[in-house]
Amino acid sequence: MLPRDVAVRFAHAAIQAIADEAGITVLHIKGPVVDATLRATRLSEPVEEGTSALRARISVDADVLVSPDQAGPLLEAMKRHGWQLAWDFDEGSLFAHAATLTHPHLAHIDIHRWFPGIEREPRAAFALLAAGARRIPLAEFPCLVPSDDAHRLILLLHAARSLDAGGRADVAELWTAASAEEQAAVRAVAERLDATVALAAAIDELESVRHRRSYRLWSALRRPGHTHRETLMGHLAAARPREIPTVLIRFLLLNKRRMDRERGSRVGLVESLAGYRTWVARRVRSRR
Amino acid sequence: MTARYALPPDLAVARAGDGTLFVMPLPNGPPQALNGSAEVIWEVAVSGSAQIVEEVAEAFEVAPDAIAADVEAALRSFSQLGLIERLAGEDAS
Repeated sequence: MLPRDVAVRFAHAAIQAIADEAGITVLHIKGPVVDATLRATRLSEPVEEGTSALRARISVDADVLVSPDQAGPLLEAMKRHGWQLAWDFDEGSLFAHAATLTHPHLAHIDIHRWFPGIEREPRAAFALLAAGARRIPLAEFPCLVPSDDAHRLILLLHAARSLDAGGRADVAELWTAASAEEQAAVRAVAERLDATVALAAAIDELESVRHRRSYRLWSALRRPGHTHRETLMGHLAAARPREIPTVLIRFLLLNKRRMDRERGSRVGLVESLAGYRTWVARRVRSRR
Repeated sequence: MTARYALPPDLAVARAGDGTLFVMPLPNGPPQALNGSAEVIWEVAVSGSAQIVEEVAEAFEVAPDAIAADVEAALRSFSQLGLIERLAGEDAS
């Protein structure tokens, strides 16, 4: 069995090779990409006496971004090379942003067709990110990564919804310790990608965007221990009126699929709705 | 003099935290570990050396004749597995 860090780097290289073959642009983010770019200088610095060496980031999977119109073709290409779909885009979270692929030898890959916190139209946002991208070696294979400023923003957006799971450390390292010029560059990318609300949530400036539609969602997501109900209400507040039915249907299907998986077989619609009623009743009781 | 080799462009290479070297032909693998003499022979081969046997012999402090057959066999195996790529115009002799 491969050591986890090797399995992750090989997964990055494998999906890049498959994407290259299929003519699909992917952008590698998080995990070893951070060590190879944003943390590269600090990781290579000699350790001063009395201080501890900076450790490499620990990853359990590989993360890539792809344009939403290329997500389907990428999944099909990956399947042709022995990868299996573990979670489809609408099975993981209410954002419906990522699908997870598994491989017998390599680490899981999360394919993101958009990134939560970026509110610009996903295809246009990806085009902006890809325009500033460059190739760096991951497992000695040239992989495409976003610009450092864009990558810093993406990591901060992720941190905004995982503050109690390593997010605070990322904010401290990627924002608090950043120079004024680096912070200004991140804010500029956030403006272009319409990601200012989630960025504000990450860097504790959320009250400055209280007027925004997505304020309630990011206010909920940044709170440690936030509930499913708070997340749903945040998504509903962030949605435009025509998007609300989609959010509700996604929520119901998400719960049904979770029930399917817990049971190991398909749950009927009536039973699923009954389960949902029980879930809602339990939530209501718990808030009294 | 042995043939000269290079790192194939479609090979992933990574070293684990404990120093073990892993390689994987892309995109499908399989991944494999290169340990001990295999690692040394592979490292010398992908350095582009034209004196692979001599350099490996020096690393292990043995006479080149004593290991030449084993090194050549390892190079053939690496080549078949896609772990090294013979440089164009190189003679195998």
